[in-house]
Amino acid sequence: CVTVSAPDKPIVINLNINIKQEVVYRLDGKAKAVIDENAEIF
Amino acid sequence: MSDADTEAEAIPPARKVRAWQRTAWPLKIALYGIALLGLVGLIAWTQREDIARNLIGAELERQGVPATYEIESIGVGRQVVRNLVLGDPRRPDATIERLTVDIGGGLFGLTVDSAVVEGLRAFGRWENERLSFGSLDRFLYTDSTEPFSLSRLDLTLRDARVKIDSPYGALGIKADGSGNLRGGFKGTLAAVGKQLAYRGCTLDQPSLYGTVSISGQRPAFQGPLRFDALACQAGGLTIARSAVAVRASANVALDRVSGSLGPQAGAIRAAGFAASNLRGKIDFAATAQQIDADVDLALAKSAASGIGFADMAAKGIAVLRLGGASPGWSFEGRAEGSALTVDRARLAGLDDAVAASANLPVGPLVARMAQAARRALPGSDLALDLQARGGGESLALTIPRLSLTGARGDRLVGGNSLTLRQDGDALQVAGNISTGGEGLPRAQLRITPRGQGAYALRVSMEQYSAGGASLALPELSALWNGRGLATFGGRALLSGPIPGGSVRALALPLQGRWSEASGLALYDGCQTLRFDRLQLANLTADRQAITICPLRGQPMVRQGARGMQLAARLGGATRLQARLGSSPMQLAVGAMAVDFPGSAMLSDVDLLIGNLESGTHIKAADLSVDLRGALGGRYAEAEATIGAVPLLLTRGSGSWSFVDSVLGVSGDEWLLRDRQVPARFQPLVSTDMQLTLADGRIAVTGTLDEPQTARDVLRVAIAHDLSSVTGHADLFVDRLTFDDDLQPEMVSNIVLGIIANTRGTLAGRGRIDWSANGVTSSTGRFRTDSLDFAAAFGPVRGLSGDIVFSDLLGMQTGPGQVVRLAEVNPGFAVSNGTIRYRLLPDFRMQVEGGEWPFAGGRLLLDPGVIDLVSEQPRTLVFRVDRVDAAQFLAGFDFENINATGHFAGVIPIVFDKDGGHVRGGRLEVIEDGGTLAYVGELTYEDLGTMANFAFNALRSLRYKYLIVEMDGDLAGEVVTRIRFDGLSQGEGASRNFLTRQVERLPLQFNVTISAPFLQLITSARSLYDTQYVTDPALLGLLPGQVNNPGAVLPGATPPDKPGIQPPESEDRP
Amino acid sequence: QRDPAYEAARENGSIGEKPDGYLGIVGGGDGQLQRMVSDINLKRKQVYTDRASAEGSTVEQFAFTAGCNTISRTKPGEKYQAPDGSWKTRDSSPPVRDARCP
Repeated sequence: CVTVSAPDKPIVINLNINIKQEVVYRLDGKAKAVIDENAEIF
Repeated sequence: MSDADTEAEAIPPARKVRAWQRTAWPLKIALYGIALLGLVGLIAWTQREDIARNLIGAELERQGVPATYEIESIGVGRQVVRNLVLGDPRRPDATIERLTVDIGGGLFGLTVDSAVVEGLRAFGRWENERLSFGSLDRFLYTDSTEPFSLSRLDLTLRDARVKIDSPYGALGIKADGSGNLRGGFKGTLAAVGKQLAYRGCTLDQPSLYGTVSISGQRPAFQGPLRFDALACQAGGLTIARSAVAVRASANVALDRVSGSLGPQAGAIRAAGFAASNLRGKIDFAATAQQIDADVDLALAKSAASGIGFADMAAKGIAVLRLGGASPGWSFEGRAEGSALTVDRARLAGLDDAVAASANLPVGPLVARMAQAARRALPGSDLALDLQARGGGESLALTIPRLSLTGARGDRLVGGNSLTLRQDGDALQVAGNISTGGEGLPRAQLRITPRGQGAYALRVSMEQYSAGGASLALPELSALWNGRGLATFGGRALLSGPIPGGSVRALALPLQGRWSEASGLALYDGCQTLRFDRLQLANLTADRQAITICPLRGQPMVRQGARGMQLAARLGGATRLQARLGSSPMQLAVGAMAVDFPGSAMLSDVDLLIGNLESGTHIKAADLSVDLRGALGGRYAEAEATIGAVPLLLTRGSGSWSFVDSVLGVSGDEWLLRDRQVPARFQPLVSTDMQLTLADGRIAVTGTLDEPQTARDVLRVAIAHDLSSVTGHADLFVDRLTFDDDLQPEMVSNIVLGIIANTRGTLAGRGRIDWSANGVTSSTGRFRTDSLDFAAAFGPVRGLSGDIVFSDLLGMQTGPGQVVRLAEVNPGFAVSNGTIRYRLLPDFRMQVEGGEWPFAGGRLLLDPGVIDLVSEQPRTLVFRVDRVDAAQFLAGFDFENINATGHFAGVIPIVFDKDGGHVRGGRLEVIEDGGTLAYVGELTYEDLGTMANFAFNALRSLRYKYLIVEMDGDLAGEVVTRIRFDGLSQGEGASRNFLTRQVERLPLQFNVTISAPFLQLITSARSLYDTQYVTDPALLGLLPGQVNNPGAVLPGATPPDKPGIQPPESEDRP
Repeated sequence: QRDPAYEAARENGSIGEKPDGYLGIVGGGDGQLQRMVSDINLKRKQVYTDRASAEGSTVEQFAFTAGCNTISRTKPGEKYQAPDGSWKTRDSSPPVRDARCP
């Protein structure tokens, strides 16, 4: 029968979660609006 | 008959008669009386022949004199005639009741030995300067040039009366007497008049009684001359009832009379002069040409215009020259006045002088002089030697010595070689006068004439002091040009009170001129005023000098019809050292022009009280002084620093006043700057500044506004004591509102770049105390209920709290200041925070602690020091306390992981100008762990079959250990590594054999999430803020939405793994 | 209607636009210039923060996007920072920008 032997070192599960943030295009319009509305600081 | 001729010629020729016109009256009457006797003698002479014939009648016929008479008896020795009427019978020139003539023969013919005239009545008339008896004149006036001599006739007169009419009045003469005309005749004479008038003078009831005697052919008369009154228009002279004892005797030739007069005159009045009586003796010797008199007269209670003497005596020799080459008179002798009397009006004059000079430096001097004069003058004695000469239009007085001696014997006035000459109206005076006496100034005056009425005067006065004031006139010389102009020069040394203070040893130059037309003008050129000490209120200046110059080329001081005018300017930039109370004071004036009455303009005025650091320093570019009403004026471009007050007041303009030694300054416009550089606050403007300086104390109040918005920033009340150089300033910020118009950097440049977009209101008050060595303490308490602003670590909303400054100027506070932050957003919004802090010197903030509610637990800010100003990054360590795992992980906004349990740890955040960065954040589970369930599809690498298998079975695990490590930008990407340890099957998981094995497996579950921290927090918000649901599409989480494959956000570690495996599970709503 | 000092600083090239959406000081510059740049950056950050939370993006992302635009809008003679960190003077040609700019 198959014995599952406890491995001598802990089982490491690495989980990388990377949330992509490709928002630049989405925000471009909003950025232009902001620059126009606050001309005195841009 | 030769005797008759010689007798007739003896009468003085006409020429001589005219010379008598000016002889004094009493003398004239006496001489005419004698001449009359001569007439009678002549009549008697006619009985020369022994023929018993009417000699009288024959002679009368011979002389052609109409006469009627009755012969009583014609004898050889004696002829008696009765009722003799001479002249026109209707108006006889003379009548004789009974004439008895005794004739004696002598060797040479008949001579009349004696005659008795009884009841003579003669009527004379004075006309064209001659006494005429009508028809008898032929007897009287013959043009003989022989000297007159009396005949040897024994004459007896009984009841002889002569009436003389003249344009000046009528005179009745009565004579009796007998005796030989050449010697031995004695008789009485009485002359009486009603009123005699001559050249504007009238003599009332004049009478002359006396005895006439002739001895040695020299007639003499003695007796009183009286009159009731004498009045002359000229000089308004009146003399009351008087009597003059006359004693006169003539020489043989009757051309020289001498004798004495003893006047006893009654009250004498003249214009401005009065005397109660005149007494004395005049011994005189008179000839036709000249009268010499030895005068010894005394006037009692005489006074002229208020000044007089009880007794005024004059003794001396008087000579009166009549006719001849130089008619005139002279007197040489001594005059003495004793017991001077000064009437009340004159004394009152002294009081007026005292009042007028009351608060001038010479005030006390005039007062003392007046008092001493009032004591010394009355009763003083005057004595002077006098030589006077007059004649025609000229008069010359010479007084070799004069002295006025006070009642107690001290000499008040001395004069020597005084001369006065008057030719026509040209007057010339010379001589030396000196004054003195106890309590009176000692002065010398020298007058020297310079011809044509011009004079040179030199005055010098020794120092005369009284009551702290003193005046000395070392020398003063004046020139009077005789045509109305006096110029003078010299100097005075003056001490004494001035309004509000006093001056000591003021060297005052005296230079100028005076003329009737243009009044007084002083100082044509620049003058330097020097003084030892000037004291005004509590200001004293020692040994200073000021140079003053004329303005517009006019004399500096003019006193004319329009009153006193002063137009002067400072010689140049002037600097005065003085002391105000105990502190040193320095006043510098660039230029000054005074135009009194009117105003004075000063420029570049620089007043420093105390030293530069802690003293009070006031400067003004322009300062005007209004000299009309109360002392005051305006100022412009003024600057002031007061003690150690950290305020520099500049560009001030407004008005000032100095009343009752209180200096009031009101500011229309002042700009206030921070004295410290770099300035802690921007210039503020005040339009209601009030400053008062009194008794060495300065008080300032005013509202300070921000210049552009003119909005009140704070009210200030300053009190400063000049002498102790201590004071305090109270600052009141009633309501300071920041909005679109007013931003903090407009008030203080320090906050520019530290905070921006500020909204809200703060209020509070502060106090600064200082002493001679600087600010000793400055405290303040300020409060805001809600303040929003943007700061480097992110925008802050709703800051509120009190701040109590222990050192307001150093911006330092005590410990335990608390501020509440409704919300701060360093990249993710955290709300309801409170920070306990303390402000340290140099704008550093000591954080004592801070607390925010966070993911179910608390985020605690560890103590640390932040430099608010510098650009260096600042590390703040946040401590996580009992954060709820579920809420924390939910923040990652993927619903695939659910966990329970609490953990704590540390999140150090480094803030720099770009924001906050997490560096080495580390959280660990507390208590006994919690549960974990992963519901989502996961990409995983070759986990190994066991791991894969186990993992898939992990629907619900329990974990004992949880470690979360975080790094990244709060405002950007944060990489979070989560490691779960001690996993075991959680509830709800399908349990089977396999999973039980797993439970015993040492399983480590590491999750590395690189996600915007923002979600971490905002999603936490989604837990309780349902509408705030982030749209996954927005997050770009949805597959296929990758518009720029491989794009990697800057700053995030490029994931080495491909994106999330597209989840097989369907989308969650 | 820019503040004159800010306008002048842009024209004389003492400050320039950075890719991260904020202003940077090209070289040196006194305290006052630094304070002015900080003040403007604070105000930009506030705008970015407000817009980012509304857009659900990070402040950094919004700022980056704005940076792309501010650099493209620089006028010839003004300064901007290239992705490699070097300061360039804008001329008539298009500026060197981050690859991710749209």
